[in-house]
Amino acid sequence: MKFSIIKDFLVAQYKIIRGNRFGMFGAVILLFFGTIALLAPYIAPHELWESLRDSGGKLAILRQPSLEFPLGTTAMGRDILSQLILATRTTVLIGLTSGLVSILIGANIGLLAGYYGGKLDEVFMRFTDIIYGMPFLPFLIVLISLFGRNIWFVIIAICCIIWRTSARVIRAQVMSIRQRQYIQAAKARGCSNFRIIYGHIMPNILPLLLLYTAFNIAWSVLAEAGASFLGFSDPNNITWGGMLYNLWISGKIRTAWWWFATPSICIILLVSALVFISRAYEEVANPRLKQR
Amino acid sequence: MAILEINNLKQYFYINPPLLSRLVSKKKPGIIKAVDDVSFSLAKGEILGVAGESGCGKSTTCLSIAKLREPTAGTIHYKGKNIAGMVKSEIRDYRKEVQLIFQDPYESLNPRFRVFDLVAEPLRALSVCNSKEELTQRVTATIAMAGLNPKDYIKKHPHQMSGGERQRVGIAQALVLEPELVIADEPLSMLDVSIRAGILDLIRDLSHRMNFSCIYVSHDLSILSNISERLMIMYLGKVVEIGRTRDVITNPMHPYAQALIAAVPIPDPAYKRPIPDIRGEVSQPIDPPPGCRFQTRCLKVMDICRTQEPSMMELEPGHSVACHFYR
Amino acid sequence: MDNILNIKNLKTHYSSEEGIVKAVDGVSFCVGENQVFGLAGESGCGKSTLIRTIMRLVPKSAKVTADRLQFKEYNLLTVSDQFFREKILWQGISLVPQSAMNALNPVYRVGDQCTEAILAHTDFSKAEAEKTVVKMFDAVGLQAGLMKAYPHEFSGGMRQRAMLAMSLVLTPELVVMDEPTTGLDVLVQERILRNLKEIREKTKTSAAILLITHDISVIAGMSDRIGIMYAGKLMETADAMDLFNDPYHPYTLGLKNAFPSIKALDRELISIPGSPPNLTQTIPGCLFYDRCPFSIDICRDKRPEEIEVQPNHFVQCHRTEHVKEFRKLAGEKKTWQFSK
Repeated sequence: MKFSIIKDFLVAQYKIIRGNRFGMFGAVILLFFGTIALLAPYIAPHELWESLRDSGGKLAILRQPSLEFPLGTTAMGRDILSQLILATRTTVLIGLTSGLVSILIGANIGLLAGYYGGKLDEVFMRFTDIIYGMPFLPFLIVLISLFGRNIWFVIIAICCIIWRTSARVIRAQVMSIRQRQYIQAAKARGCSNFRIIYGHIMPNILPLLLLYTAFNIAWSVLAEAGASFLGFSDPNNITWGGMLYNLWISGKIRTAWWWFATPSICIILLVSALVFISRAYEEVANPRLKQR
Repeated sequence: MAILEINNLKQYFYINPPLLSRLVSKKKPGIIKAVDDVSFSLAKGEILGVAGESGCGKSTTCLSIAKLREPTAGTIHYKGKNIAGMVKSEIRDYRKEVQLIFQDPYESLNPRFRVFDLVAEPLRALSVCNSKEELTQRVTATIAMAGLNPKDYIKKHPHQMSGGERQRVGIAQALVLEPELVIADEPLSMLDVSIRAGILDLIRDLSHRMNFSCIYVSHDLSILSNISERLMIMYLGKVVEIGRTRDVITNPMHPYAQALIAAVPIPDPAYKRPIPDIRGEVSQPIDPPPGCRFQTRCLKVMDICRTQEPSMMELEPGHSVACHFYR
Repeated sequence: MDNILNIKNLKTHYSSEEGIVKAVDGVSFCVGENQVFGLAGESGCGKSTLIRTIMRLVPKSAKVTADRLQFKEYNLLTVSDQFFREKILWQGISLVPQSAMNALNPVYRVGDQCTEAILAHTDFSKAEAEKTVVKMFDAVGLQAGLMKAYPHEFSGGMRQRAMLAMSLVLTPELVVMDEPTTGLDVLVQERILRNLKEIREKTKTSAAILLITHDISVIAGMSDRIGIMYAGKLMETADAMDLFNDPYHPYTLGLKNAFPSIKALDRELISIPGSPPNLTQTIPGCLFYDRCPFSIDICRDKRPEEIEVQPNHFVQCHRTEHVKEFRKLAGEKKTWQFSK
């Protein structure tokens, strides 16, 4: 029975996304970036920090896009295409990890607070309120100044903050589902609280969960890009935001449009793709939004 | 031998309006006495009908018996054992024997589950079966017993079924554990009339076949007159009359029961319904006045009714009333 | 007796994802002056759609056609929305909707809502309007003081009675009641129906009533004439006594046995197998074919015409000549235990 449930689930997700134009577009882009992220080391034509020389032997500094360097080069003569490809992997990794961990935290807090109510709910919600009051960048700055620049701190900082919205929303949904008669029936049939929360309530908040998963990943990518742009990222693992940071400190931001355009477009595409997918789920979670 | 003994069951809800409400709209703290000193017993294999209007406490009584709500006071003895203060394992065993059939077939089934999983869930939650084959066999047998062809239905979701079919799944859910006591909370009221008879027959047949006792709660006396062997009538949290169904329907003694039975519509245009001897509106069971609960509406009210609550008196063998009129 | 409401071959078709839903498919009946016409049927039979069609509450995408849809001298198919709203609604035809709890605005006092309805449709002064409301409240058994109360302070039965008062306040000629007693306790139900009868006798309103419900017992007690609806069609239409004493249609026969009665404690209850058909399908024959124990091939292939089996008693069935035998068989449980 377990396999059939997973199979049902995957088929259902496919149907949901396929039924929505935005969702399809988003899925295609995600697939594209995902493939690049997977194959990054094999398809990047050059090394990450390799200063390149052009066919004439000169250091290829700040070259515009050409046949030799399809996306141009940086101020240090590095190939932007390669950087972009390799950065995709890091960015996607950070986005996915932070997004998934934060939804895990948010969903569980929402489920437990919404189901149990009372003191537990109070404690969880006040904690959520405190996190709402925490600004992301200063928190990240503090972490980095205490422990140094490391990709993991970025992930941790994002995870600590991003879960708060999903927790609130999921809790509200759980509180309304908890009143439904089929939950009372489940209790009467002998289900334990754990079984009810994860076996009976969770399947019913799945569209909302997936919506917020997509959102959380999108926010994580944006948060990481912002933090990296300001310099709070790991200098060894480049991300798209990190590329923009390098651009900024080189001082060439007004002239090297190719260096600026590519990472920015990628960030926009990825975040948009995720938001579009969440729109497909929003229609499921709230059927009245269906375009008919 | 009584399988269930309820003694002096009380379920009170305390209203504590916040300070602001108390000051601004003068809301007073109060007590809703939803169930107030209810006592009755149920014999093995018997179908007891519980009748009454909304607010009389019949649903709350059911929830207390099903252990979905802890009573404020009073005792519930199941097979001689007090069900209060049970530990988790005892509660699990209790749930294997005491089950509920719910009112709304559109709300009581988890929309994400298929029929097979819905009916298998009680078995899985209480770890009843030892093997997958035993589980499958038991589930399909119960679905068939509820009148649905397993081959056609096990893969369906609730939204693909009609109200009657959903209710049959609900019944299968309750009966798959082979309980000894089934509490049916208005299982027919949300169904079309042409299929009600089928579900009613199903409950009656299965009760005899599987030999379980049944408490059937409804506001529809016509249905109760058809299925229950004994009938209990409640008003504002109290039992006012109890006896064999035939006796209570043909010879009601409590003024409320008399009014209720006079008001039941009859599917016959030639029938002239008598005007029920009752006045006023049904009130909320909040802070009731001393004496009989029915005093504000009774046409036979006497002075003693306003000061003293009547106790149950057996006027005929097996037929008891709580009314001062019969002193 | 003149006919207040004259309907011939009314059809309301909705378009939906699965196709065209023929919610009402060729319904014809008349409601006379001062007559109570009860429309009985289960969920999905089309009675709610029928009311909404008459009251112009169907969405614009629904297709409404009829040979005749006449209220008094007005052709309801062609009058403008404005005319309908100003001249016909509340004054000519009024509606007591289902679940009156939802029809009252929770932030306004009940009395204000009633007077507002009057002021919007007549040139009464505020004082006159309030006086009328008080009179109507009294007629339904609500104290005048309750006018100052809010809807949430009313019980379900009281709200229903307030809606009843509101519907009668402009002395309409036709009152349409959609499941007026569903969800109410039996004592409250009895009170409301009794009030209705008393009001009509006391105030001598010649208000005709179109009563829609699934509860045959309620219809039996209230109606002069009854129509049984099934899957968008009127299967049988007759005067109340005729319908109960001489039922013709197998669906009516089945329904009679499906209702328990406290006066017949020993009668066996029989349910009709199957469920109503999918209204998006085009079914060439009788819509009751699958569930009818007496159906034969012609029932599956050809739609039955409406025939007058007795004066003013109409049935849509191919096999009305066997009705005596059917009536006997319908009383036995095994007749209904079959599957198609």
